[in-house]
Amino acid sequence: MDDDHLDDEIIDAYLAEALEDGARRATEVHLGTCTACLARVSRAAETELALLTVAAEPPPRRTAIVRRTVVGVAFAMAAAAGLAIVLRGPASDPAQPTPAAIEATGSIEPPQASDLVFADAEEQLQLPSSAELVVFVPEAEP
Amino acid sequence: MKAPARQANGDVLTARALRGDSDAWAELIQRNDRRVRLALLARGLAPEEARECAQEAWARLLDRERRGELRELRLPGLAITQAIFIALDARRRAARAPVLLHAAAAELEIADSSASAEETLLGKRRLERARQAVGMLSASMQAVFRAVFVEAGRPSYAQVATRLGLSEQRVKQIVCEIRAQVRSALDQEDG
Repeated sequence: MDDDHLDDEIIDAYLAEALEDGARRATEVHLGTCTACLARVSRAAETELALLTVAAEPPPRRTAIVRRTVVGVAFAMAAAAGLAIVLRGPASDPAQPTPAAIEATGSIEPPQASDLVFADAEEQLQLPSSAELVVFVPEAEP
Repeated sequence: MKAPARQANGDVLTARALRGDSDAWAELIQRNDRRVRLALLARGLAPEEARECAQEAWARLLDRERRGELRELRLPGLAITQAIFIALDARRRAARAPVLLHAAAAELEIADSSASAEETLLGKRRLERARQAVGMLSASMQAVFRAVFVEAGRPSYAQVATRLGLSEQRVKQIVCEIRAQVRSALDQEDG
């Protein structure tokens, strides 16, 4: 107490539930009669609530990085699959399946949108606009 | 990734609570009650009144679940909303002036399900500024922030100090600095 008011440290400890029972009770008795300290507690409670609310949120930055990595890998795999199709020779060869047939039979599955997006819509909207997506596209054979 | 793991666990708990699992309810209350009481204190309620309103809010939510009236359970927002309605009602009955409750505005805003109760209470812009303030903390302050506010179990400053190789006094000092920076961010003028 300082001049019959609560110290900031006591208020912070009270809101953090770090006071011993006796000190907590004394603080609450004081707050029952001192509107000035109650107003300070109210203000500090808002700060504490903001901190806890922010702390409870998932870290969006890391989510974005992970998603970018997964999407990049998936696209790279898709591109590699495309390269494999090209290297298998002309689609007119009856011994070889056409790319359409491969896709239809699922022997080489292209990535589906549902495979690439694992975060909810809200998180997707939080992707920073500067997010870069590196896609490896194989060059066509001459 | 503590927070997503905790969120996923929270989703499981919520599903269990909606099926009437009392252990799940106890865990959810234990996790969220502090934020409910902080929200009430932030609206100007005295500690005893805040505690009573929070307890009543949890009791009503449990009752609604048992009567099959609860389809979803977004916490702590739903409990905060319920607690504020209880506080408003108590003030009306006592014919007291709603000191900081801003009754009509709070009822209208918090009834808006598109925003979380915390967002409504804190204001979206102010909460965003708090996010930015936390995002701009130095690496060492971020480490203390995560240890004190994010991680489950609420370790003491002494435990945080030991884990991070700092003195307990330094941890306290850093927590004070974090609070001051977030407070300053909340106090900035809009626009």
